[in-house]
Amino acid sequence: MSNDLPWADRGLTPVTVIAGGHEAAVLAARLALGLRDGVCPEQVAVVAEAPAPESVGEIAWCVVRPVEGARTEGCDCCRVRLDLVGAIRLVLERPTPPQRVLVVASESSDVSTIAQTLLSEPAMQRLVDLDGVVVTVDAVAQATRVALGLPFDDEMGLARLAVADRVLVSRADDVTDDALGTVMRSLRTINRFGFIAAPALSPIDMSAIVDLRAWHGAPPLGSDRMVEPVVVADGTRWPVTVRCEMDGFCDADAVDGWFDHLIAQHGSRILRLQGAVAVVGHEHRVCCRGVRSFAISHSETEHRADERSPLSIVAVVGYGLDADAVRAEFEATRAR
Amino acid sequence: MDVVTSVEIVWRHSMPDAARHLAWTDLGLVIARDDGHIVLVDDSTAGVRHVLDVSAPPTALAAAGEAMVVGGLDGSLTHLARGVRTSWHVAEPIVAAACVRGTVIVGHGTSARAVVPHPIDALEGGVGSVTAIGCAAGRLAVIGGTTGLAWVDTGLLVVDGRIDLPTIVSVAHDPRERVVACGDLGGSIHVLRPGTGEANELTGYPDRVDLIAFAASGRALCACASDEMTVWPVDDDGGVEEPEPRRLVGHDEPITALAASEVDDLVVTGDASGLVRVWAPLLLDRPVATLRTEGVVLAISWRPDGRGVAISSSSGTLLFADVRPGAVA
Repeated sequence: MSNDLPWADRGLTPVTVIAGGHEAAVLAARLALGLRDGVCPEQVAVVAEAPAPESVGEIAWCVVRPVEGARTEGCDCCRVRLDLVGAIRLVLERPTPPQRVLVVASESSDVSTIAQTLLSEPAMQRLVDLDGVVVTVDAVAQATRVALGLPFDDEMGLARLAVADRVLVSRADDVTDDALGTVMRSLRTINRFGFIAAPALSPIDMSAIVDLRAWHGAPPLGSDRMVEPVVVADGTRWPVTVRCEMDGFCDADAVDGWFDHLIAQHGSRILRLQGAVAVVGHEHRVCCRGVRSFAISHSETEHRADERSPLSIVAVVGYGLDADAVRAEFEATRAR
Repeated sequence: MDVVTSVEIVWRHSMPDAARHLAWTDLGLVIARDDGHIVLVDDSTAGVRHVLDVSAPPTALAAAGEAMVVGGLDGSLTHLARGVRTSWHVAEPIVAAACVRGTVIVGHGTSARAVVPHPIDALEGGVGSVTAIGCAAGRLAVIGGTTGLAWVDTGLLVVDGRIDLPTIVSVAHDPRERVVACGDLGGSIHVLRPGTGEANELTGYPDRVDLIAFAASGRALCACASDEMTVWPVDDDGGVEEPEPRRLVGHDEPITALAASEVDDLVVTGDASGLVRVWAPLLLDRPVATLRTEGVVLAISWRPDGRGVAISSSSGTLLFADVRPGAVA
């Protein structure tokens, strides 16, 4: 499957991050088997914090250290960086490396840190390309929390949902239509990036989960997803997705300054940053992506050689962002 | 000026899996392959002397005399000496191992543990998750972790002191035992007096400094960042006074392995394209010899007498080269 992908030419291995509870590991195991036995068989390695929940045949299942924050003192980010980089190097720097890696993150893992590690670490830039983030949600557990008046999720869980490219709701057939509807509405409020599906009710194909290239280019935000949540019933702090859009060209220096200011002001609270910006003097749009204080840019020609658009669109997902201010400052970068 | 150093490949062997840990016992070269095969070979003939299977990919390897200790990703610890194998198991993956004056110390989770000569209870290092272990001075070991480092007396297995630092990712042993150098995740090197405090902090690296080594004379500290090696001159007291290091450029790809000879002031670097350079960092800014292997260079280990070097790569290639240090010409 990956043979036709642009990054295959650069020798980068696609990585899909699958996060959530027990369902995430089950999904990874099934996905690995499905890809191995599919029409275009692939060798897949799974990097996980726990052994496989079910038989995965000859799938390479590399177990790294648990990354629960309470387990040890010290910086969680550092530990994730060290463990994840070590595990991915271990599975890829081999005589016959796998063609794809699935990273399984536990319920307590910080997906933004995992994404930041995959994007920013030099060894990861040399070896892998972040393909997408898939998050699993248990409909029964979420519906129960909602019914009991409990917060929809903790801060880590909300962050995970906010940056996901795919949200897969499991056990959707075990809850009432009303309960499922409530869960789906909450998920749509939190997540503005990807699609939300309940495979138990409407099966999805593997191709909807892998080969997304979702962390490249313009963020897939529809205009119907532009409203930020203002008040959340359970009182918890929810991440905000700010969509900045401009039909026209940005001034190069001004838009550089906008990114610098955005990261300086909100760096630690940015869970995901992604965009494609039409800049004066550039034939093609400049794409950017990042997490927290890390951001990197490249020309859109790297993945869409024939795409030329004067539309600039940038999405910023984070906590405590002033959406109006962020958008106004972006608008101010318009070339005169 | 030129340095005539002869480096010739004695043998090249293709293995079924990659080896990212190499070490030397009194009996020969130990190769820890990712598929869990630990092979002891005679470096002169490449003949296999012993094969040991462990249960998971090896993550740490240390040798002490004729003995070796292998730590695994599954927390397994295997000790082999005089053909007798002893195994233990701990809850976390083994992340580091080092031989300090005949005592092998391993790190796992937040603990350090002495395995050779006798296994004893684990010691809490108080440095968060252990990330690196090295020799400091005498029987003093240094244990790096996510919150700093600790000095550990390996004879008594007690912590002699701790220093708060950013996450430590590498430790380099000064052959003259005046200082210890530790690379951190943020891009700094901390040069410290064993058992006491910091002498220098060397900054300016764009990312983590996980490849550092002292030259055999202790007169230079080499560190790799991206595709270049920096060389810091070290004075007689172990201090680093130069404001800027010398930058040695000889790779086009990121450097992935570094090792310094214990005998001569020679250093070997290997990169992600399989290019291997031999440097005389105190004399020249350009490499004195070059080798090539296939894949990413994963591990380099000098023979203790400084007359040979073993190099392994991600393709499963293992080569052993004879090194004859030359004079300045």
